[in-house]
Amino acid sequence: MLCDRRRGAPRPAGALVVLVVLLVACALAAASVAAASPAPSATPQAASATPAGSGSFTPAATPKPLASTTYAPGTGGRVFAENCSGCHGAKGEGYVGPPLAPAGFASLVSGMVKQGGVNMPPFGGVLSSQDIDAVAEYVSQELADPASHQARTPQGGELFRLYCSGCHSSTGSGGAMPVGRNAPNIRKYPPAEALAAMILGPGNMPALAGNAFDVRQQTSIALYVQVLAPDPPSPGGRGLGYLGPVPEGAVGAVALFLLILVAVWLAWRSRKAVPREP
Amino acid sequence: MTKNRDHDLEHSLGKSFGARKSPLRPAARWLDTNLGGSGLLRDELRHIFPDSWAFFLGEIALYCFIILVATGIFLALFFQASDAQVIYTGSYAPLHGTEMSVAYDSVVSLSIDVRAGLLVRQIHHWAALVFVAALVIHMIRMFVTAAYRRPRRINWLLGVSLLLLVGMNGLFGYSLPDDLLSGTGLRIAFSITESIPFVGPALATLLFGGDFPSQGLIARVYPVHIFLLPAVIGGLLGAHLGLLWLQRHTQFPGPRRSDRVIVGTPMVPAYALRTTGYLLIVGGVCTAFAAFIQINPVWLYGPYRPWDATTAAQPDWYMGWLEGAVRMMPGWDIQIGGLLIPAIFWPAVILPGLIFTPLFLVPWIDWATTREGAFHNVLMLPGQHPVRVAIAAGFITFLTVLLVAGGNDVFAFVYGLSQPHLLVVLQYLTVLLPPVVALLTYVLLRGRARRWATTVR
Amino acid sequence: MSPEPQDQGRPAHVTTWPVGLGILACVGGAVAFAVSFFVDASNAWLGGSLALAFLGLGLALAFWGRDLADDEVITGRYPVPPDDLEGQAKLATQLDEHASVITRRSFLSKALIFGVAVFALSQVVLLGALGPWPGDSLTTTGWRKGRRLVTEDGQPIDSKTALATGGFIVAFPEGGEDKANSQVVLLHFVNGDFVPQQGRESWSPDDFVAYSRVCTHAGCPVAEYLDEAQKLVCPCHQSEFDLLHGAKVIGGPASRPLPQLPLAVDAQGYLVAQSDFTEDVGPGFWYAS
Repeated sequence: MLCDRRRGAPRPAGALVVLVVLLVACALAAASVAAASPAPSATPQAASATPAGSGSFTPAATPKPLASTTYAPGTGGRVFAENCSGCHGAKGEGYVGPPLAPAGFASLVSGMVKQGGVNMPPFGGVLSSQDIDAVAEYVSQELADPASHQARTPQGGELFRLYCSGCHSSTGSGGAMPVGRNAPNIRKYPPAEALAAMILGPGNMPALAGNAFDVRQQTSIALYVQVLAPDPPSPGGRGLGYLGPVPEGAVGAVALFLLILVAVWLAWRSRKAVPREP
Repeated sequence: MTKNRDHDLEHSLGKSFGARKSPLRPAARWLDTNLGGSGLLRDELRHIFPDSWAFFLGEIALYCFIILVATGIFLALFFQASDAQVIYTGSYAPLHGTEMSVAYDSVVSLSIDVRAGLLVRQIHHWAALVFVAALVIHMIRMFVTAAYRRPRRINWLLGVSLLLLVGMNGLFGYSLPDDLLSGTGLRIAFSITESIPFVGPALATLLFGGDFPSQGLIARVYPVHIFLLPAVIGGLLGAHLGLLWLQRHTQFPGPRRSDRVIVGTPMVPAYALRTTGYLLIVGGVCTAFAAFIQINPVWLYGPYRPWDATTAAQPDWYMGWLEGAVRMMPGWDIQIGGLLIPAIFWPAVILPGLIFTPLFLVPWIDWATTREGAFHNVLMLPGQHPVRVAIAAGFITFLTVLLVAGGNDVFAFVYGLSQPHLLVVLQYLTVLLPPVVALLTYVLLRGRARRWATTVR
Repeated sequence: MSPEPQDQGRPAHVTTWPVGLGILACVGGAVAFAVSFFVDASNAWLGGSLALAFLGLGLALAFWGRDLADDEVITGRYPVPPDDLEGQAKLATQLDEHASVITRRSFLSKALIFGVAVFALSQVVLLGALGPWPGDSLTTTGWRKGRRLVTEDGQPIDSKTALATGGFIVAFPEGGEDKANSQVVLLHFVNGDFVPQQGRESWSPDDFVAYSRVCTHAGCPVAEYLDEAQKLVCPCHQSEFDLLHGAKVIGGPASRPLPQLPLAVDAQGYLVAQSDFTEDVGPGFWYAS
């Protein structure tokens, strides 16, 4: 009896159409988010003195130096001579690899050494963590330009938004370029890679280090990238790829979709009901 | 005042209250003695609401408005609408020592330092996105069911006005934090205003308070966002709901339902329960999104400086169609002697006029094309009028292509497409896809409509 | 046709457990919210508990209302009958009737309307109080003859050492006048492939070139510098400008090239402007040149 479709009685076909359209929108949103979300970094930023990338939003203005670990004095120099000087030069002046002048913070160095960069092999499986810490201290204290120690994260942020975010977005997610390679998501790389990129100017990226930035400014920018990577401080929840209002709007369609589902459920029984005769 | 009394009414009333004395009786008596007018209220207790999922769409919008006002009051207690420059010393370290406006500082502090501040901000923003989306779907439903016919033409005008005002208020709202993303949007808004022939530059500097960036711009936008537009929206909304109340809600065709006889559930208790429940569910969904999904992280965008820029720079979704039109319009400036009409004038000023003017005139265009001007309380089923649905489908397709074009750099980046090629494809789709979709919709529905018509006879 | 009893749907028996569960969720959520607040828990806890409270209570009411709904279906009458056009016309005739004492005095009523219209229109002048008229604010910037280019933190730019291997610097006039509209992108074409526009051969000493950074489309800073392609691209709407050939538009919705700032080198070797821009900076407007 209830299945009798009364002549002219509305079927939920209209609801179905709207729900399908919104479902497609949500699927696109989900796909966008999944495609845009950075791949989790292979090794966490353990050497960073900031609270390990848990989304804490009060990172220190400058990373604290690494706690002294148990390695013999001179370990750093030895490790450097054996592993790094071949590419970076005996005094870190640069050779095949870029000069190490702006590498003034141990956390920047150790992250890069562990993970490896675009043109640099990872040493995480080759060197012990003590050796890595030792060489990081050695590079940042002995080889880096002393001016880089004056670097500050907030100044890096200001420079980042003036020179970098136009291509890489203010959250470092990257951006489309009309020709050539897109400006990549810089959060996928160890923050020190930003220093290498500034020095080398790969592809359409200009070599701004030395041309637009002094050493202190280069290091400041790398420190700010360290705040953004691997995920920017997000006390509000999931970041949706940190691509701004586009994924936010797509996800908002999910909310509307859910609410329409509830409305269909709410009105389901009474929509065709017939009033009782007196 | 017995014109709404009916046998059903008496019967249901007696049945609802039953033999047992209701605990509401003392309260009801108090109302009677202190308020009077009980006859009018008595009738309205059993005010009838026809039922359909489609009738809840306007409620989504209404309840989002209530949530926005409630959360907005909280936000207004913390926001400081000043462009005065200040050095940040709060607890978000990556901004320490950065120069920013007091407005931006107050929003960052609200998000980071005030308990539940970020939650309320995010509920406010999510509710705004859902608000406009619900309005759009609600308007589409009105259109395809021909709810705008007499005597509801004025209500249609009120509704379209509400959509326009709500969109504008959203734009002003997300511009208040004076962050890099929204400040860029204000710069573009200035350029659009400036592009209007003859009055543009004067209108721009007068409205914005000087050449961009002007001192006091945020302070000017603030009272518009929290007072002027909400007051107008509230007033129009009151009239909109008042007309709905007086004229009663339309209904879909069905058993016993006609232009004279309304069939539905009464306000007390069934409808009141459900609609109050729905208010809380809308609130709950917005809160759930605000709890787990971050929106508008202004501390990451940084304060607005006119020499900073970011890619992936879009307005909120409901302005996306305008953004797409502006991106796709070729640079066809018109220079007549000393007079320049910049190309941006056409997609940013003329196109919105071309979109909203027919929207306002829908009831009269409908009358002009169908010559059918009777009073209606029963809706048309969308399938009964394939032309109307086809036009709606084509219109929506056009706006959707514009919306996608508004985010074309993000889509190109995420899906690995060439951004200039994507833009060209979208330019062609803007012109070609809407008529194709409209035609397809018409063809698909026409057969159905014909079958319907023959069954009815 | 008389409806079957089955047409009423299920009997009006309200299933208790969803309503009870909803209220339980509401109470639980509310308590969790209060606790989360006092222990300064994260946004997820605060919001999650609050959402649970809202949804719980909402679903409780919704379940209850829904169960009542189909038994409570009743009929009534629409207040505006579809065919009572004469009844509707009563408004017009009654209004006309009562107001006729005024409208009868046709000269006075017309004069009244005229007066009100003039009064209303006169209030438009208040617009003029809102802000300044454009004046020359849209056609001038902070550049003057001999004014030095400085970086964002105020350092002058030495032509002997700046941009030795390429790249770009965002520069402003010394003193910071009209910083937003005066911003320029300074380039150094070390490869010598820059082609000066006609009449502008003296504007680029040592192949240093400065273009206005305010996009001529909608005013965003043209921040994307593509080194190999030698283009400037605007992040807002992806307008593209050819740096080697006078920053003319080669893609996107812009139409006018970026104005070029005439440069010179002063006695100390720092880069200075020869004058203000010779074209209007930024987006077009009706009297732009």
